[in-house]
Amino acid sequence: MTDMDKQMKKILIVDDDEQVRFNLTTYLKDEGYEVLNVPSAMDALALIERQHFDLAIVDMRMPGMNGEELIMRINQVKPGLRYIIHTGSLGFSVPEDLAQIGINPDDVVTKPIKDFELFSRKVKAMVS
Amino acid sequence: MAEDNNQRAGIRIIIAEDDDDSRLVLQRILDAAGYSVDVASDGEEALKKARQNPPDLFISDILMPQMDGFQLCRYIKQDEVLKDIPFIFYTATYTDSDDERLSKSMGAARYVIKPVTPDKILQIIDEVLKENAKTQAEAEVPLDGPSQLDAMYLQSVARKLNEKVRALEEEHLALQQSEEKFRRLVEGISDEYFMYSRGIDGVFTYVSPSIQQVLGYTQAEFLTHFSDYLTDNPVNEKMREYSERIGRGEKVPGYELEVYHKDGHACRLEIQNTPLLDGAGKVYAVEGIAHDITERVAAREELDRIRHLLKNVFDSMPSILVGVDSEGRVSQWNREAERVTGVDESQALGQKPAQLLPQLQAHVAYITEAMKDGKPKKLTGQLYRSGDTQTYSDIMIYPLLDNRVNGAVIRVDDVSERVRIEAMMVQTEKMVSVGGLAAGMAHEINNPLGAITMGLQNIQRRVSPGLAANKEVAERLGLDMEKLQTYVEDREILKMLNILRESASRASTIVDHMLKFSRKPEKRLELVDLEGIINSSVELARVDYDLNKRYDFRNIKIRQDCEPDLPEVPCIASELEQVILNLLRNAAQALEENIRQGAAAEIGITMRRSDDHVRIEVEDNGPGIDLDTQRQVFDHFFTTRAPGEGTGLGLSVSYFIITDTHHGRMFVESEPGKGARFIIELPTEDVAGRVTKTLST
Repeated sequence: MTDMDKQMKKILIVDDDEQVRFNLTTYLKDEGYEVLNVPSAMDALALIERQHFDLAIVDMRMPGMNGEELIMRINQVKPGLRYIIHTGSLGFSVPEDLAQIGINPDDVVTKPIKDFELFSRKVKAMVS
Repeated sequence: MAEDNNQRAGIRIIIAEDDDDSRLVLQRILDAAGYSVDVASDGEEALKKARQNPPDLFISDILMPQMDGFQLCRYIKQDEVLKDIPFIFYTATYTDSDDERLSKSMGAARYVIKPVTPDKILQIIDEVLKENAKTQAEAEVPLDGPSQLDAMYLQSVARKLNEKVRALEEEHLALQQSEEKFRRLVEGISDEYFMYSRGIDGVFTYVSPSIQQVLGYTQAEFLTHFSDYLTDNPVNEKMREYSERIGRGEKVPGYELEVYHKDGHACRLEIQNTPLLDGAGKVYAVEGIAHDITERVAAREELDRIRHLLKNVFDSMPSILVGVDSEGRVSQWNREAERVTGVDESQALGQKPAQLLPQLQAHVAYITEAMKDGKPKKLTGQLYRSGDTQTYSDIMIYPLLDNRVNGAVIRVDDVSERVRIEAMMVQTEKMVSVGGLAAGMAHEINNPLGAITMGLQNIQRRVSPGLAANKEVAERLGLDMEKLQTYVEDREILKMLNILRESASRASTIVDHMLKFSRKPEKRLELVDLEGIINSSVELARVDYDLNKRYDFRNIKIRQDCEPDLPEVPCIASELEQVILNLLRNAAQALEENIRQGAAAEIGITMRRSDDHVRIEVEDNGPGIDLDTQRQVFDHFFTTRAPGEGTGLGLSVSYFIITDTHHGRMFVESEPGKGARFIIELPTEDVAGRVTKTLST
């Protein structure tokens, strides 16, 4: 158990939609991760400064600071932290658009998630 | 009277009279009375005639050239042969009683003062002849000899001559006054006119002083030949002909001349010439009046110029411009009107405009009203149909006003193209707004859809026995996981969950396509894999459904045949997708009948490389399109569907996208009963590259 605890990877979910937060948290917990979620970019930044995370799953369109800005701040304060963009926004559905703001298309997962196996594999690869 | 005449026959009378008229009158009277008459115009001639053939009576005037009446009388009374012949003075000028006494003393029988009636003179003559027969030469004793007679005679003649001189002076004065009056008239004319006389040789003999105001020359300077002043203006060409006619004595109408002013500038004159004829009818001089009409001609030319300018402006307009008079009949008809109608201005003048321009037929009352109100009116986008063609016109009526309405100018612009483009823009606009709406909807739908799919995923996992956490909770609650699993399966809960998940997935696919379709076109051609676009269009078509369920792709077999290794083609993927989707929808609608009759319904999409372009064909095995329809199929607003079912814009927008944005070609091949094939040809990179370069430079 303690070994397991030590090995347990920690994921942060940032999304303003409470249902998405709940469902995603449930799913990833069932996958065996330790999961925390926050409703805003500011809350996320506060948490990231105090705790270690292996992965952040970030929504793009949020009130206040949006996902894009949050990622730029993460790159400054925790350069090593990996992240997945989880977005339903139309602006990021095409690879060139993402490249323009320095985001690797492989790091993007569009809402709604259709292929959960693929998603699970991606998360596992990112945290290891 | 006839008796008298018989008695008088053979009686000879000599009349001495210098005035032709008086002599003739008297001669006629005596002739008629039966006398034999001889005439003489002075005393000398009378004396000569009397000596050759002595008369029975003399009748003589007093004042005559050569030899006067007194002298004649004296010679006769001294002549041995003639002295007894009675002598009558017949005179107008002698009114003095001394004259009468003188004449009596000279032996004259009577002294008659003119005028007397013919009867009276005849009566006097008869009396004198009778007296003469009785008294035979008992001549009155002369006065006191010849010297006294001479003195009386001289006095008398001097008086008479004074009289005559005074009369002549009066006559001369009157003539002088008349001439001065005429001169004042001639010389008084000024500014624009001068008068002249010239000989038949063409040299001026007189010009009135106003020549100086008109042409700058003094009167003396101008007395040369007229041709010295002529310019080379063609207007002067008539001059020679007129000159010749005047020379023949013809009266010619006024004509124009151009001559040099002394300072060198050209003056335009209007000439009125009158030939002067001598007694024999020969022209000896020409008189005329010249009128300076330089300003009038300049004004006329300016008017002509403005009229020309107006006409040119009128003609240069790209609009149809029709001037109508107050009766509403064509008074102006510009070149565009000629071009559009094929009716010349000369044929159009005087006609009703609506007869020449059928697009005005529906608006005749409106035009009349505008002219009545005197206010400009405008009608926009008026539809006019003629057979298969329909045109849209803007019609403007500008009433012409001075004091009252004096007609109007009607302007007609063919705005069909503008109306078409506007309609196309409306369509694009609609699509853009639908696209914008789709984008917003997609985002809003995707979040709850995400919650649904992930929730379903979580539920499925939490009812399955595989998950360690499930076991822990089940054990704590004493729940048999195996039984729960069986229950869920028996009650088909898992199946229900799968249906929910599939439905959510389908909804998500639709939203994805909507998003792709609504992406704002960047209007930048990019190299795109055509097959991908075709695939995505077909996929879009499959999920496309019509609210009225008039077609359904599930009943249609879609066959795709794509040549391998097709070159990429520069295009805007979303627009090309829109075009293909539109073709597929049209094909599906055409196949409705096949489906209803249970016949095979097929759409074939083929792509081939052909020279410097890629050819995409979309064909169906529907009823086909007849030739008439084929001609109009790309026209805006053309639709074969019932009202409300089609905009008639789909193919025209597609046509625009292919030909304008992609520099390609789009056309249709079809025969009734043999299906329809729409062909799109898109230039490959080389060609398009050149085009793009040309556009950007």
